Amino acid sequence: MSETTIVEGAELWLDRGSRRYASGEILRGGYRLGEWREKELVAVELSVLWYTAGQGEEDFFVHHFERNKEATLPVQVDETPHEIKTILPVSPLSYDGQIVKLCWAIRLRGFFASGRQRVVETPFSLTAELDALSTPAGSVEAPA
Amino acid sequence: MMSWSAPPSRDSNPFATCWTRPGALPFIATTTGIEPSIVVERLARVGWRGQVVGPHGSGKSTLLRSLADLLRERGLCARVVDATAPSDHDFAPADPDPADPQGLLILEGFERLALGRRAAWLRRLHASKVRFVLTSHRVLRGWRAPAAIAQLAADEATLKTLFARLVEERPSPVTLEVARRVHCLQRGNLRAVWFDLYNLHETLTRTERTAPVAASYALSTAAG
Repeated sequence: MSETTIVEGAELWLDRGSRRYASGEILRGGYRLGEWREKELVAVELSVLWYTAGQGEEDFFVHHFERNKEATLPVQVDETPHEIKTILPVSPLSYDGQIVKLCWAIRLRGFFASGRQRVVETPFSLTAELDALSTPAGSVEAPA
Repeated sequence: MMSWSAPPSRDSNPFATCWTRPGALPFIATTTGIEPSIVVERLARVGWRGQVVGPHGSGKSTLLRSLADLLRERGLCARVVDATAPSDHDFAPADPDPADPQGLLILEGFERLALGRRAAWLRRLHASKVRFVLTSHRVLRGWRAPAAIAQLAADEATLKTLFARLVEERPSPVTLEVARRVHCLQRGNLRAVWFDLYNLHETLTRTERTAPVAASYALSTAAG
């Protein structure tokens, strides 16, 4: 399981410690809303996307998207992790250049009644093929 | 066990455009004493037509984007338009809408237009009776130019505040002292300063970040 990203109570994770996936593979992960549920959460959006970062113009594309309204969200007590599962595309592959980077990430955005938003993001790499040493895919488990 | 480099992420460089563009960084009231509320007050006094003046990277766009909430409180809806955006005919993408009595057009990049186009824009704006604010490097005169409501210059205090904010969540080996020197070399152009610091941060961190990838590539090449 990958390192879990926690922002003010919400948790977001991937199923691989290496956070490396080959094109066409299934990406699995999960999230828990935790303390977000205590702050008048209206809805959450989960997206698997790529974006460019660096200098100048930026671009992005959302590969997988789901929006859940408050009524459909789990209560905080003994919250069962929400599972994420999507088949990754063939391209574009992750790239870490000096001028521009192509970044893949899963992103969880929370919308609150106050109008504020909170974002948790976990980056991962999309590669042409996985090295034999990379961690194999595992089942989605919530962090302890 | 082989350790893999971290996935590419915007968090790897605190000076990337996503963190430094207008809107991502707040407008900092500097020693000039210019604050968004004062700018809106001045704009109201001159009939909602004005110009914000300042050199490259002095915070014109950042200031204008920070006005939206204050304008909304006065019942006005700001619309940001890039005056330099290409179009099929002169004003298509940024056509001021005279039918919108609550609109206020924020014209970014006005200073980058050729003289003839600036004059044409002003004629058109006055004819449409639309409220507007435009940006300029120097105080525009003639052509029924609107009143100057703010003159900006990014000073070192602004740099210090923004630098601290940028590296607070995403640490960098680049120091404030280096940033000050770059600021001096770039003559206060903050946009250029962020570009230089971005490159410097990459130079100082890339080897560590990409070494595992380079090693992996060398291994696969040797094996092949």
